[in-house]
Amino acid sequence: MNCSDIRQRINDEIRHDKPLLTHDEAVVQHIRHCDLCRSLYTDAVLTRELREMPVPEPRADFAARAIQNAVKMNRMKRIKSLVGISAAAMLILAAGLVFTRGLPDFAGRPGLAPNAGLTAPGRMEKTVRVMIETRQSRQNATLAIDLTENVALKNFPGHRQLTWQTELTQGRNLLELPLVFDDDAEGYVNIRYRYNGNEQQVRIPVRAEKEHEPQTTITS
Amino acid sequence: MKRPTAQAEIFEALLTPHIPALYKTAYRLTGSGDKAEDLVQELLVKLYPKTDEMQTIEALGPWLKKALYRLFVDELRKIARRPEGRLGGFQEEIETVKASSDNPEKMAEIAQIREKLQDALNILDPQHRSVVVMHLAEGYTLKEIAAIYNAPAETIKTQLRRAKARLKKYLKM
Repeated sequence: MNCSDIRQRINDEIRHDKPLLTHDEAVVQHIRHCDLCRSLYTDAVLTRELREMPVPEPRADFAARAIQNAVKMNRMKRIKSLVGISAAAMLILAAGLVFTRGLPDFAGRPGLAPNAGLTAPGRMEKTVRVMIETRQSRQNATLAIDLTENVALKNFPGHRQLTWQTELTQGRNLLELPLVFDDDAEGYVNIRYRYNGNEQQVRIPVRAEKEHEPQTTITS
Repeated sequence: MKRPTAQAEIFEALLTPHIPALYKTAYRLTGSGDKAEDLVQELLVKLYPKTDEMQTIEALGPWLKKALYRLFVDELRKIARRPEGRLGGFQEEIETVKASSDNPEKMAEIAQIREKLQDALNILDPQHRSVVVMHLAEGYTLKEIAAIYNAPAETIKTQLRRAKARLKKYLKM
C-alpha cells in the first residue's frame, strides 16, 4: 500500500464518516513509518473528533434569559441616550443666554408692555429678551418672574414676583423685560413658563457691567 | 422604527433557533460554559439594534457565527491591549513543536483522543484555539478566517500549523 492509496482512504473515510483506518493493520503500519501520511491521518482524526466533540448544555432557560437581557440592556441604553439628549438641550438653552443676540422685537409680546419710566440717578436700565418658541399656539400659558432684591422691573417697582396668564402664538413669542438695577448690582431674573402641567425655567444673571442685553429662548 | 415590543418579539423569533449552535461554537472557542454564555449574551446585546437588518439576511446562521467570531476576536484584542492580560496568542512562539509524536509506536487510540480533546484545546491560547475551531471544527477556509481576523492568510496558516502540532503532541498522536 503506497502513500497515494493511504491518502485516498483517509479522504474517503472522512467523507463517509467511517472509522478511521485503525481496523486495517497494513494502513496502521504505513502510517507509523510515513511522516507525511501520519500527519494527514492525525489531521483527519483531529478534524473529525473536533466536529463531534460533545459540548455540555448551557444552563436551563439560558436562551430565554439571554434574549430578555439583550432586550432589557438595549432599552436601558436607549433611556440613557434620551437622558443625554435632554441634558444636551438644557446646555443649548444655557448657551443661548450668551450667544443669541440681535433678535428682532416681536409685536405681539405677551403680557408685559414696557412703558416709559423714570430712572433714578446711579441706576441702570437693561432689557432682557426671552424668546418663547412653541410648536403650536398655547391658550392660558402661565409666565412667572422672580427677581432678586436689587433688580426690579421698570414698570413694577417693589415687585419681586409676577405671575400672569397669556396666550402664545405658534412659533416665536418675544418677552421683553425692562430691568432697573443699581450700577454696581449683581442679581438675576428667573423666568418660568408653565403649560399643561409642564414647566420650564431659565435664570438669567444680571450684571451692571454687561455691554449687551442678554437674550434667551425657551422652546415648548 | 418598530415599536419596542414588536422589535423584541421579532428579535426573539429570529435568534432563539440559533442560540444552541452559537453556544456550542462559543464553548469550543472559550473552553468554558460560563464564558460561552457570556460571549453569546454579549453578542445578543450587540445584535438587538440590528433586528431589522437581520430580517433581510437569508442565511442567518453563518452570518451569526461570523458575528460571534468577530466579537470573540475583538474581546481577545481588548485583553491583549491590557498590560496585565497579554495573551500568548499574540506573542511569537519561540518554541517549535514537532508535528507528530516522537514515538509512532505510542500513537494514542481514538477513544483516548476523544477523552482528552477538550483539555487539549484548553492548553492552546485563545487565538490558536479559535483558529483551530474555525478551521477544523467549523470548516472555514484560511482565507475566510484571515478576513475575520483582518490578518494575512499566511499568519493564520502558521498559527494553525503550530496549534495542530501542540494538540497532536498533547494527545500523543
